[in-house]
Amino acid sequence: MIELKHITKTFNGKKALSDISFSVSEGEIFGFLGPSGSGKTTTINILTGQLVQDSGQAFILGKNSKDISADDLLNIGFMSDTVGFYEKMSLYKNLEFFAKFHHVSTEVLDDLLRTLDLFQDKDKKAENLSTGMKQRLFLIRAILHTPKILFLDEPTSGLDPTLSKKVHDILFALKEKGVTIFLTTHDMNEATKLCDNIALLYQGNIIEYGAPLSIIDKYSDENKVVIRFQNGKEITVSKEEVGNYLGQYVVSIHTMESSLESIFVQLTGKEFKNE
Amino acid sequence: MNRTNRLKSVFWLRRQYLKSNLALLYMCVGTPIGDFALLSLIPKFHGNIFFLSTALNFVYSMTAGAFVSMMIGEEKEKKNLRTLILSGVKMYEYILSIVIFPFLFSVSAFAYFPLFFGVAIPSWPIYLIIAISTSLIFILINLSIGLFAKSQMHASLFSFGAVMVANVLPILADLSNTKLVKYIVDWSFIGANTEYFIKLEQFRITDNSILAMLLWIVGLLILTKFAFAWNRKEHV
Repeated sequence: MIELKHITKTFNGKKALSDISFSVSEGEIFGFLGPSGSGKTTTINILTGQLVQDSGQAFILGKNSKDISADDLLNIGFMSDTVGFYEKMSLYKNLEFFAKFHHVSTEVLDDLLRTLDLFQDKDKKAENLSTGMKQRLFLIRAILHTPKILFLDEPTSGLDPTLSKKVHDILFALKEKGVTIFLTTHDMNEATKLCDNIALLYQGNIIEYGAPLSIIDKYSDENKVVIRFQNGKEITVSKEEVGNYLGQYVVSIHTMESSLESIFVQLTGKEFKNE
Repeated sequence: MNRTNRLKSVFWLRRQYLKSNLALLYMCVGTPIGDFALLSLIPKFHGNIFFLSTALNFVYSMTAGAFVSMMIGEEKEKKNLRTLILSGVKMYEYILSIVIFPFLFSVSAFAYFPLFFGVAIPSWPIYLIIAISTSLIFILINLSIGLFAKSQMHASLFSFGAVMVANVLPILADLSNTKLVKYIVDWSFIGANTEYFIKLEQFRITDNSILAMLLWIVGLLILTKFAFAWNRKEHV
């Protein structure tokens, strides 16, 4: 469904992507994780034909992304902050156009609005919507026609846990229907829960790639434990050394478990931040 | 997917957009009507061809022209054009949806204005060919302006340049008889319209200005195609 081979892209002499290669299969939820400026948007723009790479090849729906046509775009759903909406039109009219354009019945639209708690606000002018409501508007617009490939940039950002859960359920339902989902998120727990595979991106390079749990397992060290003291201090030591610290106001001792976030820090020496 | 259904939906979107942007509609369709109302206050207004020509220039510049560039300018500024392109809206669907209302309003204006002004048009077929082609040129110029502009303000600024040329050239042609001025007017985008109102029944369809008009249309069609393709790409 999606394949990138040795993609490189430079902006004003600065490398945004450096020899990026990966592939995403049909019906897969793929997480593309990285801090701001790591090259996520550039990759999406190359895949959707909005940008042309300096070298390498990108394929989407079996076609070179440079040759993507308007007809191909009908099979792609897109949610990101690079798209807009008609501010002076109501939330419903904004979405009704896409329902008409993709020949989707208004019942489908109404159901999605109800699922995402927007139905009661459907007549609100789009310019008066809160950030979370706009986020849901963009999501509905992207998934309304059940595209073959769905690009989602931070789909749950600004949503409360209940709505985030509803979005996750929708994404799982789409996956069941065979929709390929390309997701960027800064929420590592979300990525672990949702994604079949992830790529950790840092400064235009993929620093880790694979199934989230496999990556976590790879970096987990069963021989190490974390000791927490009464004063709040935590240290990581090998199991053999635990005896040296007992009796020193130890509150807890637990095995060291990696998370995608800690792996990112371990690999880059930087905190994972998404401004 | 059904082409007619897609076209119907982009026209529907444009109707909703205009309903929610009445200020734009009043400005671009109302200005020529206001101009007509003001001109009608002038004595000896009835039957005066100069007034008709002036009012028509307003129709071309505002209703056919600025209307188009301001709509596209706003859509670019609010990222709606990018959204439509990424949703699979084709170039011809988008452009038709943008030009349909400015074109229809312009046609109504130049069909009725000679009657309002009480001007006897010597040859209606030639008048309509020139009026329709001139409107088309203004629409195409403003399509390119809108598609290359970064914002609505940007588009308005460049569109104002076209308004100035459209209103100054006919006056220049009327006041000066030098060869250079005649040459510039003849080959300008407003040339055929200006020549027509100067020559009236003496105007022939074989006039140089008609050839210039056709060249403008072809050139602007190519530019519009390029401008739309340019918008499909991200420019950093």
